[in-house]
Formats: sequence, structure tokens, C-alpha cells
Amino acid sequence: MSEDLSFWLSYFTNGKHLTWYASFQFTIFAALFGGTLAVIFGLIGATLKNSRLFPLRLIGTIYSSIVRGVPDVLFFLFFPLAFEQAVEWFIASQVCAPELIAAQSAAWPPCKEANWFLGTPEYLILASVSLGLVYGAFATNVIHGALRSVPKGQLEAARAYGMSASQLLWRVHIRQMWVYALPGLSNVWMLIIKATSLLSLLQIADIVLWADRLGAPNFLPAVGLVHEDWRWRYYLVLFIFYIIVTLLSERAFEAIMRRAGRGILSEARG
Amino acid sequence: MERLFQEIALFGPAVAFNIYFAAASIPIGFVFAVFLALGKASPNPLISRLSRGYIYAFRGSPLFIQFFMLYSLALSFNVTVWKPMGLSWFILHPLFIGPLVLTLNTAAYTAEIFYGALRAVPRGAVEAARAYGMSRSQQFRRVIWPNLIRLAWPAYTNEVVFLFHATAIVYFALPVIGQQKDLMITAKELFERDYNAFLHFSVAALWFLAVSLVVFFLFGLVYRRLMRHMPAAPGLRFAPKWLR
Repeated sequence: MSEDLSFWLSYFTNGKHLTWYASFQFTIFAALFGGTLAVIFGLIGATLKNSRLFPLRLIGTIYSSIVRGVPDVLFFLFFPLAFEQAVEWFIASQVCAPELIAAQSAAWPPCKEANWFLGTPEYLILASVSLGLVYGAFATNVIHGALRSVPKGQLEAARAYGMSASQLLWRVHIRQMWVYALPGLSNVWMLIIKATSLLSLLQIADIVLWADRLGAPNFLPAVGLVHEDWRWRYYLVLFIFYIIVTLLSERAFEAIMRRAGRGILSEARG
Repeated sequence: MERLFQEIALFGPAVAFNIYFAAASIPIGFVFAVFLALGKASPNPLISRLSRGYIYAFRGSPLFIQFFMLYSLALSFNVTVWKPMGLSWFILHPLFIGPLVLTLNTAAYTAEIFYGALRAVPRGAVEAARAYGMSRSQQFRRVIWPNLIRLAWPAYTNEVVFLFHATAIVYFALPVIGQQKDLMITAKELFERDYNAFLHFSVAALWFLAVSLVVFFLFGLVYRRLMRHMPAAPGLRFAPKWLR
């Protein structure tokens, strides 16, 4: 019994498992940073959509409808690759001499000096930005709707107090908007959490990749077969992990909504 | 410009796989979802709890993980169960396991939509049906179901488009067999050949957008038919919502 216990204890604390536990930081970072960016892009998009200038309004509308019209995975993969290429193209235009370009046989980059090596931190930031861009389009819609739900009387009252347009926007309109936006933003947050499972597609050694490696049949010459294919058990752990995260976020959003809705008519909470 | 048309034609066979995955999972998922929604609304606590738990689990976890989990589960039964039965070529094939997981996933999302619509069915209509002496199955077929499907149709359209978008990750989780490649794998392989991200990914996006528009159009026709008794039939707009 105690031997069993010590076996499991050492099994779950071996180096690979510790790396797995550590890799949860990537998922958490991507979710938090991506979520923050999504709100920021959502605010920008909603402002553009509300703009008085037609071209800006067009940009906002195109952004929110095109990004939502294609699968999130597609954009999630496309943005980091395209961004990397754009940077490499810019470097190439600075450093690559014509003879270096002629010497390069591969299709990309134009010359070896222009190659931009991306490690995990860079990819993680790019992945978060692309999560923010994708779900910012969803947030744009939510915030745009919420801005329109703020009662007209409050804005008129603010104007009557002599507030300027920017004061009105920042002190009244955006502050009052949150109550109406929260239910929608909670949905966007759930989508972001689920999308963080895709990090391994960008060569980040995240929880999914490690679950796959740890679960694969494990054979050591000294010990023999340690375990056979245990992948589904590791994926089950992740499955439950994500359900728990969803459950906790749901609770947290309920609490935030209750707090944000203090003193406001119950229609806002519906 | 010619390059673009060539590229669009190149993706033609690939889009068939995405359409297959969606078309194979939507009808079964629809039927399963009706039972799940009724189960969630059931007065029997056991059935209600089970349906609730199922819907919560599959809506609360990423589809990507569901793919990996069910595929590795199927793999671990391979030696003991599928192989002796001679079924492993079928069970482990992406064209079977892909729609299977998508069905389980979409059933949960659709059930939530149907459950919401079920609760929005006017009470008076159900009471009137009961007053007419209809049996429970008659009530369901003649009163509850027609109301439910009309209420749920716009949201269900949205879910179908989302499911079609979700087919993009099937082959990231399952093995690609031979030339059976969907839009994303085709785009990724072409990208790895000549590093032209803008062309390949945009064309794949165009295909996704085009099929989504066709889905909206077809489902809009059905909606018009469902609503034909109304004086001015409300149309469906192409507007993928944040709600899923």
C-alpha cells in the first residue's frame, strides 16, 4: 500500500509531470491576456462602428462581420504566421543585399539574415493577440449593443450638466455600458477559455501537447513497460479541468453582474 | 487573378470534407438534441440531472479536447475490442470518429437552444391543448414542437454555421489519411510549400464564408416556410452571433 503510494507520488512528480503542471501557465496567460485584448479591441471596434465618419464605421463593421464569418482556428493560425512574415519582409527590405537574396534557395525568408526566430514567449504573445483579435470581433458586437442599451435619459442628463462629448463618453456612457455588456462578455470569455486549447497548433508546449506526450505508451529499458497508452486518461483530466474553469468563471461572472447591477433596474440584469 | 481562380479550384475537393463532416453530424445531432432538451425539462430527477450534466460537460469543454479524448479512448480499446471484431478500420477512421464527436458536441449546444425554446412555448397554448383532451404525445406533436422549432430556428441556424466552422479543427486532432484533406490542412500544406499565407488562408476563409452564406440562405428558406402563417414573415440575416 505505502509502496503503491510512493510509486504514484514519484510518478506524478517526475520531471515530465512537473513540466506539464508548469505549462498550465501558458494557457492561463493566453486566456487572461487574450481576454483583456478582446475587451480592448471590442471597445475600439464598437467606437469605430459608432463613429460619425463613414469610412471608420465601415472598418468597424467589416472587422466585426468578417472575423466572425470565418472559423476562429483559421484566423488564430493566420495572424501569427502573417505577422511573422510581415516583420521578416520588413527586415529583409533593410538588411538583404541582392546577392544574398539570389543565394537563398528556400522560398522564405528572402535571405538568411532576415529570419526572425520565434520562441515560446513570442508565439504566446502572438497567440494572445490573435485570440484578442478574433474574440474582439465578438466583443465589438456585444459592446456595440450595450452602448445602445444605455438609457437615453442618462446621456441627456450628462449633456445638460455641460459635459463635453469625451467626458460624456468616458464618464457616463462607457461606465454605464458594462452592466449591459457583462452577460455577452461572459459568453465571449467562455469562448476564449475554450480557444486556449488550440495553443499547441502554434508550437507552444502547452497542456494539450504534454498530456499527449505523457499519455503515450511509456517504455524504459531499465524498468520495462511503465504504462501502456494512457492518453485518454490525461485528456479526461483536461476535459474536467476545462469544465471546472467554466464553472468557476460562470460563478465569478454571476457575482460581478450582481455587484455591477446594484441599484439598477432588474431589466438590465435579464 | 488567374492564380486566385486556380487556387479556389484547388480547394474544391477539400471543402467536400468539411461539408461531409457537418452534413453527417447535423441530422443525428438534431434528433439527439431533441431528446436531451426534453430530458433536461423532464420531471424525473435522474433523467434531468443526466441530461443537464451531459449538456454542461460538452458545452463547457473545448471541442479540441473532446476530439483527442474520444479518439484516444477509441484507440485504447483497439487491441481488445475493435481488432478482434475486425472493425478497427471503421471505428478509427476520421470519417467516422469526426462526425461522431461533432454529433456529441452539437447535440449539447442544440439541446440548450431547444431547452430555452421549450421554456418559451406559450403556456396558454399548452393549456388549451390539454383542455381539448389531447394526450401527451399529441400535445407534443401538434402544439409544443411546432412552437418550439419556430422559436429555436434562428439560433439553430447560428449553431449550424458554428458547427461548420468547427469542422476546421477535425484534422488537427485526427490523422490525415492519404489525400483526404479538409480546407485547413490544404491551406496549411500549401503554406508550408511556398509560404504565401495571405493567398492560401484567404482562399480557405472565402470557402468557409461562401458555405456559411449558403447555409444561411437555405435555413432562411426553411424559416420562411415555418413562418408562412405570419402576415409578414421575418427573414434571417447573416449575422453569426456571439452566443454559442
